[in-house]
Amino acid sequence: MFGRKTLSEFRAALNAALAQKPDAFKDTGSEAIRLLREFIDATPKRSASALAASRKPKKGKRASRSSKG
Amino acid sequence: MTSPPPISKRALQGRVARVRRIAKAVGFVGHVDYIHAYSRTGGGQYVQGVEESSDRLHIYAEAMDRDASDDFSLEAVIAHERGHQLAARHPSLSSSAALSDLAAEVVASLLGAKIVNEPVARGQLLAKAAGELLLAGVGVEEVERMIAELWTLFEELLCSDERR
Repeated sequence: MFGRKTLSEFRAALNAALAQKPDAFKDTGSEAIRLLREFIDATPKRSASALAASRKPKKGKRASRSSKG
Repeated sequence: MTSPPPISKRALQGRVARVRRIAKAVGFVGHVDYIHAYSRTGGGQYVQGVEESSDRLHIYAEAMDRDASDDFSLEAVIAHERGHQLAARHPSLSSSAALSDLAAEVVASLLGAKIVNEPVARGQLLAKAAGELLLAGVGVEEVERMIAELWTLFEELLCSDERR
């Protein structure tokens, strides 16, 4: 089963790890780690907190909905 | 759970053909089905049969939705499921001790990354393998070590198959 976690969630976990240890996933001599680092560097940086914030309902939207009623 | 929007017969046939083409490219053995419905699988499921030729790969509508958005590509989903099949069917892997759910997912993603030819899908599956471990609380140095060691192990196993 592929699982329902999104690529954004995995990116956020990787970026959080990199924020703690900036030299992670590089210079290990492993092809897998080199490819992983290339993928991380080629994709937008979104921290776990930014991802969580993007999922929160926007206050403006809620206000406009309630104003309709 | 809602249903996916209906699609034309031609679009359905196109999806079936695309899924089968990718499954063939990554070496899936058995029946390959595209099911135009939402599941709770994340989009793909490997079903082990009595023997390899009766194994099944089910790809669901959410795999197409994910492919069309900023999420996993269809190639990544199918290669991951082929990874499950390799883990279940390869003599050296299937004889090892039963894996935890987490270990099984990491192994499937790394095997999928190893066999897929598409660089974006490869990167996505490496990110999934490493991300699964990080989200489970494994330390980053341990994640690096595990990914590197498993990659080397799988390279040796798959290369020895090619030499046979």
